[in-house]
Amino acid sequence: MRFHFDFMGRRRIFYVVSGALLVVAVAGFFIRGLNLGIDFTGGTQLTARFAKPVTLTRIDATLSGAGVTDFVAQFIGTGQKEVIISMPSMPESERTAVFGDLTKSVGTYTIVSFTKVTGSFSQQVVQGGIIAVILAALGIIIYMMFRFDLRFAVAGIFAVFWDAFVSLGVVALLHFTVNAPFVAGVLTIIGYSINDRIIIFDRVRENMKKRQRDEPLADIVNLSLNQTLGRSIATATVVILAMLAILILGGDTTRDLSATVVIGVVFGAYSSILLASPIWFDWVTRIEAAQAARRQTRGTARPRAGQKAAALAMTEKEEAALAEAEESVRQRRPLPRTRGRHKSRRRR
Amino acid sequence: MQGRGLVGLALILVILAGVAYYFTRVNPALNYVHQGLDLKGGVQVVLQADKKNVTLADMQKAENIIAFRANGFGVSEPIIQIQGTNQISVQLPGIKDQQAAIKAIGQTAQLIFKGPDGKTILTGADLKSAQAALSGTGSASGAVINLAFDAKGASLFAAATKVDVGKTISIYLDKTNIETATVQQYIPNGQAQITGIPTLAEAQRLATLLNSGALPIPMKIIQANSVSAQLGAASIRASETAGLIAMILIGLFMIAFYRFAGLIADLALAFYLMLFIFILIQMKFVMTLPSVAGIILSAGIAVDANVIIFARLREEIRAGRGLGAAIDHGFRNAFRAILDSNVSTIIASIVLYEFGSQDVRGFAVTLGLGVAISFLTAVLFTRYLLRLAENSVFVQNLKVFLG
Repeated sequence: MRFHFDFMGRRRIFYVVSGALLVVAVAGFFIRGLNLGIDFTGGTQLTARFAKPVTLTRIDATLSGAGVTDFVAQFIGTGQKEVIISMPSMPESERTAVFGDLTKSVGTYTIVSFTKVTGSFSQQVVQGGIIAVILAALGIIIYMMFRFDLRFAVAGIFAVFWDAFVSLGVVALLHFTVNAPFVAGVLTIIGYSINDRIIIFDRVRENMKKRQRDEPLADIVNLSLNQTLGRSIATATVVILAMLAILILGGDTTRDLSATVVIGVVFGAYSSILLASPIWFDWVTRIEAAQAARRQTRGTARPRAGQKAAALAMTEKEEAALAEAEESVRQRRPLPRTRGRHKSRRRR
Repeated sequence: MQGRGLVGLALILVILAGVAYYFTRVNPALNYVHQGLDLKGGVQVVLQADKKNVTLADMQKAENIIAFRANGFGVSEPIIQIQGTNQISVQLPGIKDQQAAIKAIGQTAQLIFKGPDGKTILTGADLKSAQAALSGTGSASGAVINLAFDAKGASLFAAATKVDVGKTISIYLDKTNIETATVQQYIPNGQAQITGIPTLAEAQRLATLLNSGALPIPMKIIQANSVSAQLGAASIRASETAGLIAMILIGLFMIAFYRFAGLIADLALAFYLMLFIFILIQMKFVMTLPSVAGIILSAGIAVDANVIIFARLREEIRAGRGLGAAIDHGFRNAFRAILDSNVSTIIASIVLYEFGSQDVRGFAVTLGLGVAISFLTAVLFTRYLLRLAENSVFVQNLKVFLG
């Protein structure tokens, strides 16, 4: 063990931090609101025919310079003369200024059409997406109930949604323009989050199997988190490194997207260790306390049954310990060979 | 086992050379993978209602029907918007044949069954489903469309076939008579068949049209044009450079962190990308920004698998095992975690694909496929290479091997 950090002992602090982050995110989400772009809100679409061939780079620069924050410019047809520009609806005076800037810095043009358009992303699509994500979460809960148990599944998925909400809230606070690519960002965050949770819970599950009699649950969780910490740091570093490269070098279109993913990965790494695991820990602690209490009350009320149960429980634990001992012996001194010898002897 | 190590080395070098050649010379990601509207552009069609005073509700209904048709014709990620009060703009990526696209989406598709007296028996509104099929018996061979009517349609059809045995029923699509057939017998179960369609492709086109329902208002094409990418060309170039630099950074980080094993992980990652792109090309997959995000996430999960394995190896070695035993135990333990994480991710992508919109689907396909491929490369391929390396002369020093 190279790290020794008592995560569970400090879990109350992390609950407060997680709760505060959630409050800030919800506030950001409902008070400031997501800055929905033209993919969602719709806007106006200008089709312009320029006198001479132009470049989209030039048009992009001009529109950005004119203070238009959210737009798409596309060539239509061949010859690089005809351009469709989608942009948010704006007051007449601003629009005139933008049109003037286009003439000045790009070239003279005639307006072929100028119409209002709906968002390419309807409410329906967004709702469908949310439902799909919830169904996907249910699928994972069912799988985890088989491979882990209900407590791991619920604690894990709860933290996945926490990641998604907090990231959304931060995006609202930072006022990133939310367009179609943003959906990909949220999905990426959720995917990363699921992966991270399972890797860490796998270690908890493994250590629970090796648990010694009367070994505190907190030790198991702390051990697991410390064992996986090296991996958590390495993986988060790799993903953030890659995303930072895209963030810095990738240009305007992917900037907000990669920033969103970086935010999500940071929260994802945080919540696997400091939210999902503490929730699981407190849940299981409570169950174990209840079991112990039940065993005690049974012991006083119905001594025989109680004793029986206690005896049974002990035997189970002893059995586990025995199996564990056997396992370790087997690992140190490979049994197969011995077994093989026995077999061959028998054959002879 | 020097010989095996040398074979392994040769294999590694061959793969490295292949990967290097593939990505610099063939450049499959840019040259052969189909790119969607947001990355590459496509065909834009503008339809206008061929009728005065259309309601917004009708326009929205038409919008949904067109979206259904575009998806039905295998167009990935169409963008459909209502424009002004009576126009619908449709952008279709990956469509080469402009005429076919127009035919596919713009038809009103009003299906009418008429009796011998010319009276309407039922319409496309009474249809439950239409399915294209090949019927291969004798002179009647050719493509057909099997129709199933809903309860109302079935009873109407039953009533008509009871009365009209021996007489003809005519089927009209948008006022064109596509078939006139003699009623052979009473058909109570609401099943009918349109026969004599020249090709299966045509039957499929018609079936999709019929399934989508008729447009509530007739529409005409007023514009059809090719459009360029939605993401600026400069931005796409910048993203490509950024992606390449991100890959190099990951590669360097893995080597810095895990030394020789890191190099093996990089090799597995390169193999993963190559295999992935090859499969995407074979699938004729249409690449969009969300699907690129899916690739990046699955690449991250692939790297994570190697990180998990190497972290385990270090633990096992620290616990006093030799390299061989450490690889055995490390893999066994890491395998379970990786498998559970991969299966969960694949379950999530299947659900997202089944229930998600086009954008979500593109993401789901690359994520699910990528994770499945990464299981081959990051787990099985890495294990193979580690086994080879273990037996080779290069691994005398564990510090050099694993850092």
